[in-house]
Amino acid sequence: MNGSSSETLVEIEGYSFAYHTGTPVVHDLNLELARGERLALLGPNGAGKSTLLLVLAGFLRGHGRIEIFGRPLQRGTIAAIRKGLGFLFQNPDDQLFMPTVIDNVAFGPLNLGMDTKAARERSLEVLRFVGFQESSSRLAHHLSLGQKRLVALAAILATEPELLLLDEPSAFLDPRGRARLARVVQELDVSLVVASHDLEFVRHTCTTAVVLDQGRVVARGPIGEVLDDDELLAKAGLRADFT
Amino acid sequence: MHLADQLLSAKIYLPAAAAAVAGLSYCAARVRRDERRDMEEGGFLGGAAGSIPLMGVMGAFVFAAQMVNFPVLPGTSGHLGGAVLLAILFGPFHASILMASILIVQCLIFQDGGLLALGANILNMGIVPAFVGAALYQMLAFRRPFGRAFPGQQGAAFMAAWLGVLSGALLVPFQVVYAGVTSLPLGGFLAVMIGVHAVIGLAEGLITVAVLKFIKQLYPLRAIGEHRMGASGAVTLLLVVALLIGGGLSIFASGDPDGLEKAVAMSGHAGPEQAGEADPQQTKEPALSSPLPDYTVPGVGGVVSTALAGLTGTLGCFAIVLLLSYLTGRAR
Amino acid sequence: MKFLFEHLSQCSSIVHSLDARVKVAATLIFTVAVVSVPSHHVGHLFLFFAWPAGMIAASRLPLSPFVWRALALSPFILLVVVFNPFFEQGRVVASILGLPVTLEGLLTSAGIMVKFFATMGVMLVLMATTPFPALIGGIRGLGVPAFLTHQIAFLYRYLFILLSQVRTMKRARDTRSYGRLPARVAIRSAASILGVLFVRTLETGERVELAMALRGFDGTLRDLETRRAGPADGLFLLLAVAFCVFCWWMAHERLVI
Repeated sequence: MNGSSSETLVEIEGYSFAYHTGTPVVHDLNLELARGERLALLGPNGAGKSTLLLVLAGFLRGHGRIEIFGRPLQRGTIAAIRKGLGFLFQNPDDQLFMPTVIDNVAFGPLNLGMDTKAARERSLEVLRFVGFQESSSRLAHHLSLGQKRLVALAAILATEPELLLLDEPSAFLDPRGRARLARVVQELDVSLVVASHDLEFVRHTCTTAVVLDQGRVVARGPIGEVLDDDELLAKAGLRADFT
Repeated sequence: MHLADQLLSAKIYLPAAAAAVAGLSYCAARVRRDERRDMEEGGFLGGAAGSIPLMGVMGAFVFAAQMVNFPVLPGTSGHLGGAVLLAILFGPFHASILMASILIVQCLIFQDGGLLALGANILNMGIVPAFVGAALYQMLAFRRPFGRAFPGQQGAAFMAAWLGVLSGALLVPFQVVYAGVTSLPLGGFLAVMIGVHAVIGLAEGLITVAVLKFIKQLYPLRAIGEHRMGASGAVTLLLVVALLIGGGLSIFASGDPDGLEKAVAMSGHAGPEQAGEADPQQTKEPALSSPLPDYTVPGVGGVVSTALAGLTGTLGCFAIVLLLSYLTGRAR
Repeated sequence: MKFLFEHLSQCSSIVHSLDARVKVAATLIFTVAVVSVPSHHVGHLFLFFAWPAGMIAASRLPLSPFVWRALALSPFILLVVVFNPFFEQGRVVASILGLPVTLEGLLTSAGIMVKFFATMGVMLVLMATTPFPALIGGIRGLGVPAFLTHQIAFLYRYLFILLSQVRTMKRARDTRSYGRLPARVAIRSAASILGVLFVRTLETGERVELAMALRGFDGTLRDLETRRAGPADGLFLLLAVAFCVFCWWMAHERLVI
């Protein structure tokens, strides 16, 4: 799985993607992610953040070069690459598709070939790790949004991925929920790409940031630098002016 | 109509359950075969999830859709049944499995319909309307000369939904009467069922057409390609339906107007089972010569009887006409 | 009410902890036994009530939800059996609107209603003591094929989400309706609610497909193993069968009404 010795997990070169309606979403994008790096994808709505995540997960195909874990992203390698990926959807209901909490978390491990006993143990362990306090046989549709997000996170962590892709993880959470989620994400020992509007959240969970605007990279740097650059943020539409 | 357990007896609910199981198993096999074919042609995207999650949420869709009321006649509103809509969109095999899952959930969570009656309910409200509706839609929308008579396939969808609902409803009186638990007369029961479901079918037709129209506006058809049944499948189906309607009725409708009363009188204290058995045996000979003598149905009198007979005759003729049109016309 | 039973099923008692397969089997056996008794043996049918009553007591749940729910469901069957006394042959005991009513017919109708309440009782107890996912596991364990139980599981999972979407859309329509709508507008708006629901559902289905593929789904849904049946479960089943056989035998004794 490890291609280059510098431990580059993701390499994107000259990548472009447009919807079949013709609207271009990502323009000639160049990006690299090193192992252990936690990258925030920032930008206004429509900048291409979610699209880029979907591209990385292999659900959208554009033009250009992408390599993940040292392998080119294409039909034959997709299944293997996905084994090392974890994708958190914006809407947790889309990925908590089994009736109970434990069924959802065990889904990945079972598909990896674990036997039911091991899958159950792994699931309970991960649920404990993310801080899910309630019974694992709780019905998924009885959970609050914050709880659903935690369970969804547990569900994707259960397969021990190397790279996590999080799509607006803190959206619609109350302040306590956001903080709780941020704490869990901080403790994770993975590489991350987080697409988010929530500047506070990414400040606490990420190491670097990339600003996208209309499908192009307009800034890149350590998280502190980017977030403290008010002018840059304003120009990219990330700092709302209420006056 | 969701049948309750107490209206049936073992000699109905057991064969009905067996028929439902057989039907659903066949549908599952066909679905699996089609899925395998789709997967082999596969794609870059989506992986191997196939239609399991899609069908799952579609079941929830029909269920939830049944909560939306449509005004049908002044003062009355109806709601979607869904079997024919599903059959038009996804094919009768998927539709049957979906309707079965809906009916099972309705039985368990909402106590709508009995546990033992599930087999019969799945037949009446799932398998039969799905296949009848699909076959009719195929015939009317795509085969000459009907394709021209039903512009935009809306008329075809309407007829398919209406008659699909009606065909399932038709089975209920036979099942209840033959079960022998109650003493309700077949003629009267049929009249009520057909009358009520002619209206319900109207609602189904209207709603199905309206929803299909709306969907086509919003969603590119490439995602929901309308399912095509094979020509032989459609014909066989209509043959079966025609035989059921014609044959089934002729067994019970007797040339001797007192036949049914006599059988019921025989039951008395001896237990309901014998009534059902005696009837067809007794009246088989005369029945074959004139199924609906003088445009009446025994057990019902007057105008209703005539109307009932007329409707039955119409349905029978319709089926025959469709059959003939297929045999003489040519597929587009 | 449906949500009420769902919450009741999350409680705990000796009945709640029984194996789902055994509870479903007992429910089936009971229903078969009750239905097979000739309807006019009304007195004997009342014997059957002891079972659901006992179950409700053992489950430590309140009685009223069961009673209310059963009553709420009874009109439908009542509507069918109310005609029976006019058609069944036998000793005429009254005349309503000039039409004769027979004793046998009345007894059969009464018997059907008693059967209804008895079978409804066990059904409701089943739902009140078994969380739905466990119930699905139970029917799966009894032989219902996977393609159907998986379908049911997905249906159940997304049903409430869609129901709340329908409710929201209906509310949105109602707040802009200002009284009764003419038929054509009502039909159009209802159709559009269904159309939007359909498209949303389809897209949800696609996203779920993505989510499943991302977690390695290869076409086969795998279930977490359910617990093994224990001696308590076997005993319960035995008890159920014995009770049904006893009541059924009693009902078939040669007693003239």
